[in-house]
Amino acid sequence: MYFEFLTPTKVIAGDDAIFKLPFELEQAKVNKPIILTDKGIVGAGILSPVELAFKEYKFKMPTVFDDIPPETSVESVQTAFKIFKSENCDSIVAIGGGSVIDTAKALRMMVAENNSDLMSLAGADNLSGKGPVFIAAPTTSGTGSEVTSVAVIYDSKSSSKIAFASDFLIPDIAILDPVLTISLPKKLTAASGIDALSHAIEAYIGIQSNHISKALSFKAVNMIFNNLIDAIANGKDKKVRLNMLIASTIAGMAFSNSMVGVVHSLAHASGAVLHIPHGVAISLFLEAGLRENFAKCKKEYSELLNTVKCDFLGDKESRANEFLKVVGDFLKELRRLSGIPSGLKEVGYTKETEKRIIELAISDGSSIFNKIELTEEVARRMIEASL
Amino acid sequence: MCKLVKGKETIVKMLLSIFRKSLIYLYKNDNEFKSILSNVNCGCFSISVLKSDLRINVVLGKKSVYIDSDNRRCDLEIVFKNLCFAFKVFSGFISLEEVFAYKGIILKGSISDALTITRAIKRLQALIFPDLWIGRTFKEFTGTKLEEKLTFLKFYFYFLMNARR
Repeated sequence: MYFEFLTPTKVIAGDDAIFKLPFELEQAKVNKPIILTDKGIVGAGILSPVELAFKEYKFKMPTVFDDIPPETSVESVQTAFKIFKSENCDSIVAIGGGSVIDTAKALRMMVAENNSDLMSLAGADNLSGKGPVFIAAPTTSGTGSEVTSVAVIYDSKSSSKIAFASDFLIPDIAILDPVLTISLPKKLTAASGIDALSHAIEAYIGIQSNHISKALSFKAVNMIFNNLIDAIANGKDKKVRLNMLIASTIAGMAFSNSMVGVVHSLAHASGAVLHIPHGVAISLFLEAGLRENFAKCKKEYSELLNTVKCDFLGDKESRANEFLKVVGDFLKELRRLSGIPSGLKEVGYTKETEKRIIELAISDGSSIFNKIELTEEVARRMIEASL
Repeated sequence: MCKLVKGKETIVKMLLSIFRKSLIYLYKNDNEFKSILSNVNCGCFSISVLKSDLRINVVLGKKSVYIDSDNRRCDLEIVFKNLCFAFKVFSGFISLEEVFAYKGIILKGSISDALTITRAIKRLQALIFPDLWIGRTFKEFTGTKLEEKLTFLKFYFYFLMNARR
């Protein structure tokens, strides 16, 4: 056995946690942060408590860059880099979902390396330093990006998602404040919650799973099963929203170290081809991916059943089957409550798009960490099971 | 295991030279190997070991590959973080994929191209190492076919002939 484990992020969680932001910046001895966010967040008024926090602390309201699309791109990062330079910024604050936080990670890389050619920084562990102070406050409960070492940026030239992985990408501080997720619509709550669930499960069953990450995955799966349905049905409940934020962060810590697998490979590929939100893509492939892994992951599924149905007795095989049934039923219920798509055909899949999805999936980095080999046949079977 | 092996650098150097020759041979003679590498978008990739002179640069051409060990910059660079990881891969103890998972590699360039190269190296390992050996290294391995065995034997013959020069 060999593994590495790193979770250096300070987590500040709870009601009004966002009001701690200016203090943390001051502690870090920075005074010109750039705030990265998106227009949806600004429009929904989610930035208001942030503005209030700066005002009350008598901290000059930072430069805000909100031109980040739902699927962040090389161009968005380059624009952010230009603004960071021209405004002489010294730190980065990301307030948003996965796309915003990934933009911030890419910006941090470019600043650290003083390199405006983002694509030349692609790879794993190839950065020379950490870069400016970086604080992330997620507005969705799913990506776990506020504590992970990976970023995915869409490259329009190659029509594919480019991955970056480095310990230097992990934010210094994560602020989990339920007020930032309270207005999240049902569909987004469900899709991002399923994303978090897949992080926890895939990190648990992958080849880099270890005792530390397993403990985190275990807790995350339990918290998601106990809170996600309530978060959809009663989105204004701050306690449930905070639990989902914490669950997503814990799952992020697990997968940042143990990584994900075939579900994410197919989701990244279909996201790039069909332009569907990441969480939705995950929700479509989760069940099929778990079934493909069944033969090699019975023990892990049987263990995970304890987090959701500890009174089920049986041998390893029947417990593993029961876990898949529980996950399947959970997904069905989430779809019913939120209205997220239940099959690939609902999101623009055609036979013509299949070839490209398979091509991209088998060359996606996540497949490395999966116990079974992601071959064309496996990818095809997963697509057929997710139509 | 790694700490018990003395002179790892010399062994890796020797194994790297086998890899180098098999790569050239398979690119010419094994359709599957060539077809995997045809999906690589970069024209040149290198494999090296940190804090060591061990390095190969592979320049992919239409019909053949050119390999040298200069300090040139390649579009994709796969750098083992230590000699131990390199030793384990080149002696077939673990797959390159596994070293990626162990965070034993610095990768400069596209992760998906690196994954394609990983697949090609897996094919190479499957042919140059005995089934029994490699069977416990790969996630899934169903053995090599008879014609693949012949390719493997032809390679060994080719390698031995060239090694004498």
